[in-house]
Amino acid sequence: MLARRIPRIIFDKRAVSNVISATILTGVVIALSLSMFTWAQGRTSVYNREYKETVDAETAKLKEKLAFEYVFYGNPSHNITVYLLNCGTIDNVEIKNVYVSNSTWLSNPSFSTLKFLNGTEIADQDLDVGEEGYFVLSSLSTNLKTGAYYCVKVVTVRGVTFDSNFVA
Amino acid sequence: MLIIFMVSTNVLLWTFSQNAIYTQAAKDENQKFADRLNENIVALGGNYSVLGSEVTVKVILRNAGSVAVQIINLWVFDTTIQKYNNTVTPLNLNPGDNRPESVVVTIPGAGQNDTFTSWFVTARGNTVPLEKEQEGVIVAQLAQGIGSISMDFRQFRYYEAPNDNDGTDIGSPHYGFTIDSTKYTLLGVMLTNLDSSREAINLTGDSYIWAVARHVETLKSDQWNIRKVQDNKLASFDFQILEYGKPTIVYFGAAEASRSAGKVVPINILLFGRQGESDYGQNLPFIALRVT
Repeated sequence: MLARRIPRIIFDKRAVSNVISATILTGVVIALSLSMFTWAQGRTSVYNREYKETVDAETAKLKEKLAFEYVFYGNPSHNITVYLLNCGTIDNVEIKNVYVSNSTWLSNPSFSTLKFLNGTEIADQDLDVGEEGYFVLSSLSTNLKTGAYYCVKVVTVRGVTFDSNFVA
Repeated sequence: MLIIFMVSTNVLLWTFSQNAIYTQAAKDENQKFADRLNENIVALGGNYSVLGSEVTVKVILRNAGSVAVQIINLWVFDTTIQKYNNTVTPLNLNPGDNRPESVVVTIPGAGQNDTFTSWFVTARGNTVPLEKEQEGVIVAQLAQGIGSISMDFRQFRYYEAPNDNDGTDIGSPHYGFTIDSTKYTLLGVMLTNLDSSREAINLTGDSYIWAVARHVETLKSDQWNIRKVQDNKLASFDFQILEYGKPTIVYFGAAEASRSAGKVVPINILLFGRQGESDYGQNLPFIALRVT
């Protein structure tokens, strides 16, 4: 009996019942939808994360604020000592680069390690909120002209620039 | 469609929330910037004295702004020898505070005759330059005093008391320059000690106000002796301290100006007392009064 039924099932050309076909179709649609949703969710989460990182970075930049307490040009040492105060609302303000310039000239001298006002070196080389520190600019490309007006610009790691002026 | 709608909404809401975070951070920074702009500290009467390597800076700090200020540092630059130093000065000033301060900074090689320039740094990053007081005798505001005492004639007031006894209520002040010779008049004068030594002046009972009418055959004057007033009542006088830089109302009287009746008379303030280890004595022409 079974031997006669199996070929009948295999070679029978009549269609599968409607319920089964609907179930199969629904299942396929749901599976496709879920996979598409997962794919879309993955793509948007990447976008969301990048957008959040951008907003966080911009917010951190907003909060950075450095005040120049004093800028002193030493003669005859020809070094510039810059005293800073972190008067912003975010910690870890780290200096990336410093420029000295006037209307016709620009220099990017090397700067010493950041130190507290009492001369001890700041271990993490950044200024937290309320901290004061200083660094010394040496090896200027040229000696500054006495009595001339210059600008010193500090660029932080977060990309914020602060500048102040001094008379050599 | 539903999936697209859900995903889009998710992205949109997330974007809104991040924008709100950034906007809030921007608002906070704007408020801090406004506070920084509203800081208004005035440093007056800068005075330098040098002992060895120690430079003592005396100054009167006044918060003329609308926000509390925290001063964190004082920088002193000796322009004569081109050296500088700073010292931490944790001072907090509420709006309206007026405070004399003395700060010591060490500058090796500084001399008494050197020229100094100084500035304070606040926690918000503002710098406040020191205004050096004028050398020699302090010149008070125009028409308001000579020498060490500043007198605010616009704050002159008088009271009409029923008698001169201790415990008598003096009533409300009158602002004007006409007094009644038949009434016991108590005079109130706003004095400020601006002596260059910055020491307090202790006035004794020898101080008084006096008025001499012109064209008198014999030199007689009306006199109001220095008096204490407590709880708006006359009290017996013991002493009156004039602290440096602090406006103080000093009372004289109560007395009847019978000798000056019907005349306009000059009012002089005679102040006598002690300043530090020395006597203090000054006579100052002040205002004019019509005595009816």
